[in-house]
Amino acid sequence: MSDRWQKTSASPTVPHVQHGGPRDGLTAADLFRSPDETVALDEKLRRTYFWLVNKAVISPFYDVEFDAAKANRFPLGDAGAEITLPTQPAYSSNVLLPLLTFAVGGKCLMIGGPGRGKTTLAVLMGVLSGSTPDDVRRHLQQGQPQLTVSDLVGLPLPRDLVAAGSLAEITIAWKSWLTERVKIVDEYNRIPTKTQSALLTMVAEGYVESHDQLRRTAPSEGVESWFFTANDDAGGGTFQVIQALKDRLDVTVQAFGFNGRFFDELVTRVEAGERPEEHVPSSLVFSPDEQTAMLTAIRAVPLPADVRRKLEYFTGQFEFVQHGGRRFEYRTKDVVATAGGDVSAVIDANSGADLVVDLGAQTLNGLSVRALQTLILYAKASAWFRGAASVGLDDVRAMVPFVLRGKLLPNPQHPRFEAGDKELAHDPASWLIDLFDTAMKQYVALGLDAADPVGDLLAELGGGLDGLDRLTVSQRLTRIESEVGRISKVGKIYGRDYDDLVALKYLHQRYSNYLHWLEGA
Amino acid sequence: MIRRPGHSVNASVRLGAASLPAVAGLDLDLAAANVARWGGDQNLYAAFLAAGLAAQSADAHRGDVLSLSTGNSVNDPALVQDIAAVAAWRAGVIGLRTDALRAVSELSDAGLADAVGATLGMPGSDVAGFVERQRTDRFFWPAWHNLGRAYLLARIGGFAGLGGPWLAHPGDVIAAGEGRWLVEVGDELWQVDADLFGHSVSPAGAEPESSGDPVETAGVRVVSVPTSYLLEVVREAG
Repeated sequence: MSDRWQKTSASPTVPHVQHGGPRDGLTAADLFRSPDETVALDEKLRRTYFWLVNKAVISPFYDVEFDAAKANRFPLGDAGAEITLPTQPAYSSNVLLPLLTFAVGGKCLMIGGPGRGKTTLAVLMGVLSGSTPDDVRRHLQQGQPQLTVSDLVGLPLPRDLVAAGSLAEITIAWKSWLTERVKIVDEYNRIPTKTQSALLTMVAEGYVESHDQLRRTAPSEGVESWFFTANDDAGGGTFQVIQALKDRLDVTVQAFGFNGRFFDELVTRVEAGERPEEHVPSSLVFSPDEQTAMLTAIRAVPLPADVRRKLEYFTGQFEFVQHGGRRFEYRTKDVVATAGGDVSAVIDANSGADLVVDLGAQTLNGLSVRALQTLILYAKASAWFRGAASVGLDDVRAMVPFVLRGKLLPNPQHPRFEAGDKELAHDPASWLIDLFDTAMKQYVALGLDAADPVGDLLAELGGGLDGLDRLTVSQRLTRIESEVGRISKVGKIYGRDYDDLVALKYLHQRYSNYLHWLEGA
Repeated sequence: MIRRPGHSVNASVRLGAASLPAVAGLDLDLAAANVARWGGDQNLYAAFLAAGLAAQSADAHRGDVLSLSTGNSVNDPALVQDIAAVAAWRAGVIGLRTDALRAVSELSDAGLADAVGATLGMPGSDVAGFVERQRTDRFFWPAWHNLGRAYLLARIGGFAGLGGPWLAHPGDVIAAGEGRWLVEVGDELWQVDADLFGHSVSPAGAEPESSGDPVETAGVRVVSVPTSYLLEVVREAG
């Protein structure tokens, strides 16, 4: 009987990218090579995705869309629901995000109720890295309230504990999962706090420590990726997850339930007693070298200047809060939060700005550099996965809800979560997409595509100070002061202005210091 | 009538039932599948390959086949592989153009001009002139030489709903090198590469490939037609 699991998608999996095949570079020998021998890594990753989504986990939820403007929309019911039918390929987030995590060597948290395929998907990632299903299951760390640090990292040999004269003489029997390329921690919110701290050291620093012994946990070759599962993302579970560990997780993705229209496949599996991880086609397994090459290719995908500028605009909205401090630089949510203040109340005290227009008022915090780096990397991975030559705004938009979930925290007192939009309060993914879309509409409405005076001034400085004469420097200082004056006259200050003003002050300092040096020379 | 993309050089080709011989060490069915994958026509490929291999066999029986560097047997897989590459190029796989021209020269030098001619669909006596002219004019075809009027070389592109690449009407066309053009389609830029037998159409990307300064393909224009999503590649009169 043929193995029904071995069928993978025919190449090419991306439509309309190339009509007529490669334009050059084929040879007579290529004519007699199987497509499987010459498949590019991005194509291999796409075929893996389609195998996972169509064969392994049965996830017909295509929620990651890339052509929001062109999609057909159908209103449903009387509560504002609608279904969109995209014209471009859409993807299932609970498969795509773990797979991109596998590709970039990231850390993915899968959340959802029991029996939604979270652990199965994580185990599949382990098999894709070349481990056997038995090894992956053996190395899977099952979170439970009695899990100790020794259970997690390994035990000191009893013989040494008795005979050793110092800690250095104790040999630790390290657990073999520590150096696996794919590491899986199931139900991580059931792990005791002390053990979570040991886990944090591994995730953040790449080593573990026990009895004064240290072991690196990065694999000797290939790329390391982590998969965590939890049935709660709101502080529940047996133990509260320590914030530092949560912050280290790159993406959070919701696992979906089973769609009853696909029951026939379920019946077949029950009758055959089959598990998908035992039938992963060998052509979809990634060698360590392939993983390394994949990560290199993803990092090399360019982020065009116009996309970067829009990303700057979006991420610049959230740090500033008008009454956060006295000095302008200290008027941030972080200043309020670290002083034990109530960020919601401080936002609410700002009567000068329009809360509806001020996107920053919707969040309790700003974005960390780590979160921004993760967003850039996953947007690159999205573009590479889709076969694009560079990162598009659609790629950034698609990754925002998964990268920023749990990192950009909603302000529950904001009017956005009242009245007709109450569902956004417990649907962070939709709220984050809404936030991004609103920011992009503002960007267009403000005409920032056409003019970016602060960007122009930064670019001028990027050209270097060497050789600039006093007159030129004075002219640039005047332009900087004029730009500060223009913002000052508006009367209302938003997050976008905060970043611009801080940058303008930086420019002013650089030029005035240079001018002092010129005058003193 | 719905017009489809295609190349005029195939307009007079009459396809019969072509059966491919078994060649030890070569999977000709796999090659046919690759031809289709790379935008070529499988039926044309089978017909021209069968004609080429039949002519090769006749050459061999006459005993005038010279040794190739890779072997001298008419069943030599390397030799059949080269004939297959020429047939695939003839069937529309533009990506094989450079290697196919190399194969045409080597096979002709080895005394297989008739086999190469049959593979290309021309008399063996025309092959030497054809390969020479192709190096400077990628749309050269002996039967059209000195025709004295403008003529259609190919139709390229088409509406996505009919299997083409585009959702919008192709607009301005800019020459971007020998046999290469950039086309504005809606708010996207696409790259078209073409020669006598085949073409490739792909998104131009952030930085379109260009072979130095924009060079126009001598005597050939690509025209956007108001009533069609197809581009027309035309040889100008003169």
